Amino acid sequence: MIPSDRIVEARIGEEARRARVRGLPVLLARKPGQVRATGVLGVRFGSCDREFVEGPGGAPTRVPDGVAHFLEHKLFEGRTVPVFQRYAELGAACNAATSFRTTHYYFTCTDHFETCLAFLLDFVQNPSITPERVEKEKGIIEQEIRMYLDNPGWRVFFNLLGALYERHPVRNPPGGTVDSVRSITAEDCLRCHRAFYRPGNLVLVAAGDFDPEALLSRIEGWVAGWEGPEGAALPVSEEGEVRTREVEEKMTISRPRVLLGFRSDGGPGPGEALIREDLAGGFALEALFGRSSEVFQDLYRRGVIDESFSASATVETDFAFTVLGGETSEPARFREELLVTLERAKREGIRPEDFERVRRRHVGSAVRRYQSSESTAMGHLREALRGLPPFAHVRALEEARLEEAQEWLRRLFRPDRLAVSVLLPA
Amino acid sequence: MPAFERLRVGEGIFLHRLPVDRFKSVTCRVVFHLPLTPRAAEAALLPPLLRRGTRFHPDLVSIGRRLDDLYGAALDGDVSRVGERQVLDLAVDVVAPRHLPERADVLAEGLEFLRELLLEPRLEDGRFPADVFEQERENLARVVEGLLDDRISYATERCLARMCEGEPYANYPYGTPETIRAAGNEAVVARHRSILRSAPADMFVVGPAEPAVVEAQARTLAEALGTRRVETPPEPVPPPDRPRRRFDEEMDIDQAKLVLGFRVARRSGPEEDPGLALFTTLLGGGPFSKLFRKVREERSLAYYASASLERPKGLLVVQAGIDPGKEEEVTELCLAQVEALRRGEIDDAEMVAGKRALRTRLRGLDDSPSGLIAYAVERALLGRSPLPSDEEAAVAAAGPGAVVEAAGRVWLDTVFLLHPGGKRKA
Repeated sequence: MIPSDRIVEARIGEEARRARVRGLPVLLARKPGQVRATGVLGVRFGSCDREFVEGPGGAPTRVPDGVAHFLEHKLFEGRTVPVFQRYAELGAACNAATSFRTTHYYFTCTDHFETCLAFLLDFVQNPSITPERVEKEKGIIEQEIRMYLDNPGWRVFFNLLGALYERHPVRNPPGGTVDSVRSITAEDCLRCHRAFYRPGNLVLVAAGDFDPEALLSRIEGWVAGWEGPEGAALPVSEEGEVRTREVEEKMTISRPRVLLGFRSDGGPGPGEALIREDLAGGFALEALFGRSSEVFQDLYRRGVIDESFSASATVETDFAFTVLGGETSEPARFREELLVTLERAKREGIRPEDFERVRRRHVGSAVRRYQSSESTAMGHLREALRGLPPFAHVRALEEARLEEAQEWLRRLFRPDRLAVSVLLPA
Repeated sequence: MPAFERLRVGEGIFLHRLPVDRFKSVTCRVVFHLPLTPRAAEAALLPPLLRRGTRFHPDLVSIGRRLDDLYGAALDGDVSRVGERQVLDLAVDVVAPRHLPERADVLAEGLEFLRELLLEPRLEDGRFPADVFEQERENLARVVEGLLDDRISYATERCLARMCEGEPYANYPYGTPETIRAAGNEAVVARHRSILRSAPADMFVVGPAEPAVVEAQARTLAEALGTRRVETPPEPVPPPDRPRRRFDEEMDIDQAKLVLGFRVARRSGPEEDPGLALFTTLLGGGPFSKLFRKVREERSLAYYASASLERPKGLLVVQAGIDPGKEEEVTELCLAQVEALRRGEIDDAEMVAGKRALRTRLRGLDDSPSGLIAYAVERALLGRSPLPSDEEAAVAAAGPGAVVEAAGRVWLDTVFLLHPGGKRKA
């Protein structure tokens, strides 16, 4: 039997089984009565990890932008049968996503769960990447990149990141550019796979109505012989002023869109520091700009913002930025009003009663996150990839302190760390 | 999954209870059935207006705080098009008390608040406050104008509007920017009253809820609605018999969007129609489908190519993202796939994958409260069972003959292309 810890979150009515199977961290969440089951395999390797060392003591190497996403596509091609097709034959749905620092592969099924899970481990472990297959994929990825270029939300967001950052690869869309994708080789993909797709750098999470003990020993058979040295991404830290204060573009859209972005200097680092930074930002933004805030009501009532408005903080180990914005008919006024509001919030701080209201709201949504197998698995994956124990988020919510949110707000608002991205109707 | 328990609580008002203990929250949705007319905007303005203030919670802040106090109860309201009806709904979702730190009575309080939102809007001299009304009217008009920004949905909606000209279905459920901006304050108040007085209504409550609390709340709602004279919306009009038509529109986009609008002759009555569901799935419901394999994979003619069904209206829509010069080639190739299914060219692997995909989708609904409710609303219009499991059993028993029969009821009515103009080859 494989040793495992059982972690219980009694109030939410959830438990997770945590183990390490041949070096692979595994987390299993049993969901009694649930019809759907999900399996997800995540890797700490994303679009920002373009410079790395292949193994301990290796020389730094660099790959073209978009390799992580390209590799995701290639793994999905499978060795003999396309992954999509294999899952479809099992009646399951599957997908994958590449983000800045991670990539994950997942499926959802109602039947044949073990077959689906074994296949997940198989296709992610065993690439079959040849120069011919790489060339064939380039056309498909180019189409995907072009489809995103037609998406106004995507354009205004990546224009903003390009203004906030000079060097950090977060400024590039995860798919890369048409040109960078054209330069990708099979060897680039294989090198990244060798360096990062190693048990210790991955996390496997499954949620569904299964027997965790029995499943653990099955998993052991599916990850046999999958060792090797782990590569390490070279962190990039960008500090100082933003690259460009303002960026503007025109395209066929119905109304202007404006995003204000504030860049932090570097990031908070891993683990607990990361989750605290994440929560501090989330609480501060929700207290200030959430639907029940006076600021939201005032700006909404005066027609400065509408339902499209959102405010969110993105935090990773070596970078962090906060984005506020939405659609507006008056881009200049929108920006002025938001800046005045932030200035005032920084001066006056967050009221304790607002902070506690946000906590109650977050407590409710934390429970909802464990409703479905999919969201349960994704929540566990996010924590595990960050090196945190299961339910860390639920516990951190109880410990969140007003002072941290205040402090976050004071650090955030710095005029020389601000960039504005505007998208105007052509 | 137990069946919905259906209870008549008032004139034209039914309570549908589904007490599923494993859900973490309770979803309560009140649905009104309205005819879909050129005056759709008047009802469409209600969900945003009702959420702006009630007699006792007069503004966004007080409503937001009430929801926060209920541990982040989620409020949701919208109109949608189901067949030739405009369906108006307002819903509240509360976390099950057993998962909350203090066992607050969030269910009864949440249902009471839902009733307050529905029945007691904040009015001044019998009208919505002028500034609130004008603002929500403008916001909704902009949301509809914003459809332009989502190229795929925009192309589909344009296709359906041209295809169903003169039929109620051509009315967009939110109205047009012009009809929204022309809607009068008194007319919307009057529409609100007439809906409460005469529209057939269903109240759905799904999740771990005390049956007695739910029934008492439903009866209170029914009493508050008073004496009603219920007017059931008319039945859908039969589709016109005419030659295939083609429309196109120019937009500054990279990838052209092709939409093929098919009509489906209706089979009414309580018996299931598994052939049609299977036909749609085998045509374009996943990576095993003919559109995906023949159009995307084999010929690389599209980035996406899929088929979807609007059952209550008898429509089937094929969507593909294509190179602007390839319209005729792709259209013919899509039609060839429909023909292949009509001839019964279905191999075992396709049939197994198609059935499994449908089974996964239908069984998977059992994990989603809002999915179960949406399914029940649609099925009620077809006069069929509100439970996915009944359709699933019919699909499992269906053979290729059912697909061939359904394919014989499907014909291409309208071709629509959204394209980049000058770049298009003649």
